[in-house]
Amino acid sequence: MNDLLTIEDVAISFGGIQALRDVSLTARTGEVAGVIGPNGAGKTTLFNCISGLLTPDRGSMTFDGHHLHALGNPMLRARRGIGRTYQTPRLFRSISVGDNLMMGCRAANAARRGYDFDPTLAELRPEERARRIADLVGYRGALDTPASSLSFGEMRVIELARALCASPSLLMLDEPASGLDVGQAQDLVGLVRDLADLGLAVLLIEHDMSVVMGVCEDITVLDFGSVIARGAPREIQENQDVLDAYLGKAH
Amino acid sequence: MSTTAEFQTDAPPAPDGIAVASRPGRTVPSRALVARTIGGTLLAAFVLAGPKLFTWAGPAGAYDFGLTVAMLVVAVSVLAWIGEISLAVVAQMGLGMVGLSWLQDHTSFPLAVSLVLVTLSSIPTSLILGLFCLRLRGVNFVIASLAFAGMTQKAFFQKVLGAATSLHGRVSRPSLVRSDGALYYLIMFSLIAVVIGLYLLQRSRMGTALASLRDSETAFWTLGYSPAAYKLFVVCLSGAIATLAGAYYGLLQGTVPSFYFNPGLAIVYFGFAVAGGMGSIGGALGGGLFFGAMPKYLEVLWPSIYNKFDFLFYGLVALVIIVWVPGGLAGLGRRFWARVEGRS
Repeated sequence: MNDLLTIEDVAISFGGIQALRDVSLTARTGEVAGVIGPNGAGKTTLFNCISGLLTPDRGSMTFDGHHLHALGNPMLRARRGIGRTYQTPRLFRSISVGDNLMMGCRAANAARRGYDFDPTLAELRPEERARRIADLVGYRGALDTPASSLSFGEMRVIELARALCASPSLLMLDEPASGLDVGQAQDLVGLVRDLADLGLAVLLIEHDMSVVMGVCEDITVLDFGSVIARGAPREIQENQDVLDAYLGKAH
Repeated sequence: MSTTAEFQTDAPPAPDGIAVASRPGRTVPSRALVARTIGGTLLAAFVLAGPKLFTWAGPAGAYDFGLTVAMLVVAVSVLAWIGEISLAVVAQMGLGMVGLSWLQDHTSFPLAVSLVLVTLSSIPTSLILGLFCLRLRGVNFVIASLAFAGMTQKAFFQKVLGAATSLHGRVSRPSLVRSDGALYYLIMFSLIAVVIGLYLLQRSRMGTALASLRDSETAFWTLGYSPAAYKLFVVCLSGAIATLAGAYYGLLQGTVPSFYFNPGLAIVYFGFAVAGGMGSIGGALGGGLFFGAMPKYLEVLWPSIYNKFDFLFYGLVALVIIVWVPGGLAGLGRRFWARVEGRS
């Protein structure tokens, strides 16, 4: 397993608020790295810095041997293999599910990228690729369904499929289990695990601890923009600082 | 009960439980087929007859004016594809007229070539406007486009080209389109070409991408697309249509007072686009033609009444449509057509 993404001492502030303070973490191919923390801890801000929507004030981010700053804007980063989903699904609602996936496939074609998690996908036509990836994430509806008519859980699944269609090497999932029922969340754990086993690096923000503990090899805990703990799930569960951040010092 | 297969909405599940995506059955029910045949024939007859249908109400020029307004409203509506509103279309329209006048004065190109060149000449100004569009969104872009239009009017149309009331340039008509009736066919042909082009564009990969951009620019960007390139394309497309409309406006009027390019008029045309159904090409056509031609006819039919109450026409009718007709004239048309085809 090699380090695909290395973040060192990244900091960003908005006005007087320090959203991230000297955050460091690593995402490796074949591994799921979790980022947890209370609301407002800076998790999504970190994702936005990695995907290029925000520019850190300082610190370095290296992706696949390249400085992310040099890779430029979100489009160029996506074409290098950084894929993501959002806390609130951002599907293209006015087109169909299939067209959403095709948008991802065409982005992969434009970037001339293969699929780390299934190299055979690159040989398929985009339409067939979209169908295969819909199958992979367990979407059971028709692809010509309007995206606006999907349930919240289906939107999450299709957003994940769309990100996969764009052939990421690093997949960043922002609270993918929120809004899913227990069964769906378990399926998601299995899918994320499979994707990592197939060669993707996965960064996961999640509040559902059963998901985080069940799938992550390494967990970074943020609180008020700072890393307060980092380690294996067992270590994090027993870390006093983490318990204080989540439950309050008086627990 | 129709004699043909109904639309198939759900594909049968595949053996592994995953539904196979297939295109829905495209067989058209017989009632809809009859309705479309009759509707298409009526539309073709309406297009071919053009202003001849309304000779009792006013001159052919009124109808031609409606068509140029319709083209301009289409230009406004195209920008809605990326969720933006521009009030600079009137300035771009003016530049089209001025461009055609200049070409006629300095070259001996045939009209068709001049029209193509005028349309292409919109690209630099559209790119300037596009730069605002990349930096600003929503109300901020509206204000920027209004400022752009204001500057163009004050600094170019008034100072450079002439006084506040008239422009130096004249646009003369080639013999082929000497009459308003003949000019109608030229404008209508161009409008049909524009509409077909836009229709095909909306249904192409580019159209899908533009719909995606409008739905979520952030997701579009982080998926690996450039919002800037697509936005610039749409701003240039809208500018080209507005400029072409200006060229036709020049042909129609011969000479045009510079106050016709008052940026405030862009708000009126935007109102037509909203009343027509923002983002809908058919709605923009209907709204532009209705609000462009109707006042001209009313002015001829009942001059004393209309001249006193013209504000009611623009204000009240547009307000009624915007407030009480969801989706504007396009929505009304869609509902009517669904009823005709027996879909509701």
